[in-house]
Amino acid sequence: MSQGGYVRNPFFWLGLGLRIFCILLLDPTIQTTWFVPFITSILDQPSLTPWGSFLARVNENAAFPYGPVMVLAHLPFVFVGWLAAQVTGQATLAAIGFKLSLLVADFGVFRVLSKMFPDREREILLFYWLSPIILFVTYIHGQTDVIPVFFFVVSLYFFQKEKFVDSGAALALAVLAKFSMLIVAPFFILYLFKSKKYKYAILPFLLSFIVPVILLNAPFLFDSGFRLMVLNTKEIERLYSLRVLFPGDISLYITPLLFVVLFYSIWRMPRMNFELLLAVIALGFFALILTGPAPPGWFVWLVPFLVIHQMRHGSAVVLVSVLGAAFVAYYAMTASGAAIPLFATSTDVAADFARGLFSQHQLSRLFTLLTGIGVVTAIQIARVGIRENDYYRLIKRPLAIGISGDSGSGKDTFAQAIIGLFGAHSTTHLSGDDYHIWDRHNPMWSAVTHLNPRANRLLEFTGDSLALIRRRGITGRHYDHTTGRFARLSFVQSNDIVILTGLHVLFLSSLREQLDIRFFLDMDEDLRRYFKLKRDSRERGHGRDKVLTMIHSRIDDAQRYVHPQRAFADTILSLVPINRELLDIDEDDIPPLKLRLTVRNGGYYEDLAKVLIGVCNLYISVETCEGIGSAVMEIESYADFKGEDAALAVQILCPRILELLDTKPKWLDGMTGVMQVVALTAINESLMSRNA
Amino acid sequence: MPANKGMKAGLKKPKAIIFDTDNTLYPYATPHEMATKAVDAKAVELLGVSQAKFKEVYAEARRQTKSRLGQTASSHSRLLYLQRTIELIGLRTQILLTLDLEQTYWRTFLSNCRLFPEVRDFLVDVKSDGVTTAIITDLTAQIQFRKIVYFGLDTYFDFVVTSEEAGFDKPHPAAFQMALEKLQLPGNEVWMIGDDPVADIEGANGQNLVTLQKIHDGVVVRSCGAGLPAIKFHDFSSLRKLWQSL
Repeated sequence: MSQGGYVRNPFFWLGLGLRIFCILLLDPTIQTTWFVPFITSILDQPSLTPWGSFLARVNENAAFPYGPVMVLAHLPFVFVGWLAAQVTGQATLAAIGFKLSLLVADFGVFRVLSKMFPDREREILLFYWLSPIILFVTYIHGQTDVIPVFFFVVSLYFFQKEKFVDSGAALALAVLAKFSMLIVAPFFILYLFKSKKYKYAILPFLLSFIVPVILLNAPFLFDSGFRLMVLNTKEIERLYSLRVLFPGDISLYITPLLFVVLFYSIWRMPRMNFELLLAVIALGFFALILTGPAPPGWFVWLVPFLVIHQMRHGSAVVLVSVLGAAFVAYYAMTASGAAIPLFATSTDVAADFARGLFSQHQLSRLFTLLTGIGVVTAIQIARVGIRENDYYRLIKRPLAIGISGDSGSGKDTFAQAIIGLFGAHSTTHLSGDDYHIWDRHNPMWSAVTHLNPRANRLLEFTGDSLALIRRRGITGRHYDHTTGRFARLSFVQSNDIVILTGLHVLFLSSLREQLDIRFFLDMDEDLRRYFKLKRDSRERGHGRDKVLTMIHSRIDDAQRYVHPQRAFADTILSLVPINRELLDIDEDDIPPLKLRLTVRNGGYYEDLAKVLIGVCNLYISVETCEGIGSAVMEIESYADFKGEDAALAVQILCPRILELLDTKPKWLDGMTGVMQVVALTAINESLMSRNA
Repeated sequence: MPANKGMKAGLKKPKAIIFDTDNTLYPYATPHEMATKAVDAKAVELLGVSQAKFKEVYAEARRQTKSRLGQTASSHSRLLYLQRTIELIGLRTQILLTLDLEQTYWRTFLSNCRLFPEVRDFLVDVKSDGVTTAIITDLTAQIQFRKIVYFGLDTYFDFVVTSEEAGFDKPHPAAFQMALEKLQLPGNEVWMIGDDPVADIEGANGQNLVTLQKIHDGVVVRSCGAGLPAIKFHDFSSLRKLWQSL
């Protein structure tokens, strides 16, 4: 519904009306003197070296400093106009064709932005479709930058949709239209390189970008005019226009310097998301534009980012509006305008008149004002887009997840379920089992249960955990459950998500307090006895009495050392039989279980219950208990709960966290899937309250 | 064209507003289409029949169920259609499979559901003016409740009447009378907002409610007779403007 709703919005028709009015009434000087003659010259005298042929006739290097895609983009409409001109003798029709291709690209940018930000169409209409920068540059001054900007925005759109090949190809088209667009390629590549889950996409992206650029440029490299006009465009020199001159005629170039700093700051970011990418590209464009009087066309590149910034940060509207006004005021006086053939006059008449009222000093002040507002906008984008970006806040230090619980309570299953969501490439898992002092072959193994902290190198575990949380690697040894021995030492690297599991993860406050989320996995004692009896007496052939004695010998230690940790957990997950009478070890089927969830100091349980009931069709009873934000919930599922249900629940409950997950998170069926939903909701809540 | 000019003069804010859900609060077609596709795909995989065969049998199962149950809520039950489909294929009653297919339908349906723009804003406007809100909807309570929860609108509505509860589908007077009873208001103090000229508009006109028809592609608009709405509107933003002008 919102898609396409723009046709009923009067602002759309206002914007379109203004554009058509300009197209019919105005003949931008740069189009009539440079662009249109260049394109029509190709139609008049088709040539394989259009730039060279044109240059041979008209000695004007600046006439068409654009690549082959710019020519192709204009060719269809200009061709129709040119044909019509041949028939009617109205030479201006070709120029109308040129302006129509701009209108189509301009409309295209609007539509692609609407697709990138669904439900924001109204704002996009206001901020883009009525942008004074777009209207002035494209329809009065007559620059053709909106065409590369269209391809660039398409590239961003595909990038957002994780279609990296399409994105690379679209970026290639942008660069093939205007070479300066090359400046954004490093941002894309750095982004892919920095993200663990998209690393696979670097090569496809690069290939789909570089191959078309080379193939479509190659034929024209033999065209001396192309080399002169397009490759040697004066715009490259802009990179060096702002400089500090040192004695000995050595210059320090400011723009490249800014880019070095910008690239380094991207490099320093542990992870990036799309919003951050948008913010840093915007800063890159600002760095390019604000370091000297930029050609007006370059501001068009900035407009999509200004639109996005205004949507994200409502109070930016005033600032960006002033920027637009200062832009038009300055460039109306300094850039060329358009002829108005109908009244045999030109916008330059008014511009010259206004210009006459300004001294050079006053004009410089206006330029300073424009630059100043630009700098302030850039700072605001850096602040809002980067520093206050939720994602940036999340990833500044690793997310530390602690999972404690008795043996056999499913800590590792739960940890694996979480790892499957974030991806092994982004998680480090440290298990307390690796810190048992004695292995199974040591006589002490049976003397002191490993539930007893004495049987564990707890301080070492804490130290290693804290190192990982502080992004430092550690050297550890892994305990192998199948052989009952410790493996050799190996280096463990820290990662974005650090998962600590063990019997004593919440035992020491020094570790506990550094955790972002504290889970305790509990298991109903009847159920534990049922599972243990079933496994040990049925599968391992131990006598029932012996097994029961073993269970009882451990229970004291469990109660003394493990169970008290419940008090320190934010979330307690425990599996409970729905009907205790069904716990019969002679039956093959595992009786139906429910998940009892205790949430402490977490406001999320109400939403969680709503979504699990409403969307996932689970049966839930909620009882609020002691304290604010605490509740106990029992979750049952009567039909199969599928991984898709988990994915949908998280999509609704905490969509922001999806960005942190792997490209294809492993959503699980059944109660483990429900536990995944609970885990992510709890993690999300903890991240939201994290300090910047 | 937010409103019929003539009516607007005499229009005032009501004490309560009753909403239809499907196609009034959100567009039904896309999610339904996606969900149907997902069920078809899953059925082909689980039941080992071709898609064409499944569709054909499903249509028959639906026809049978509907003709047996008439204009009642359970005649819309997808669970029953699916159960019958599987039986007609010759696999007897497959309980888990039926539940799975049904949940697949609703999961896909819900995940593709989007409220019309500004529905929530309109509800906020209305609630802040102290107006009571209700829903009258066909289908079973279970799924309609789930939809409302999914949209996060559960706290915005004071009453819900489903055809399961009323015993008859709209435009039967039962649901409207039941809603008015719950609201404890006479019909002329209540608005009915819906898209269907018969079920919503004709039904509500019959109980003397003030009817507002939500217009979008495919909606039939009556220009005379019992299905003539008092007000027509295209989107909730124009309805909000109308509301503010009252």
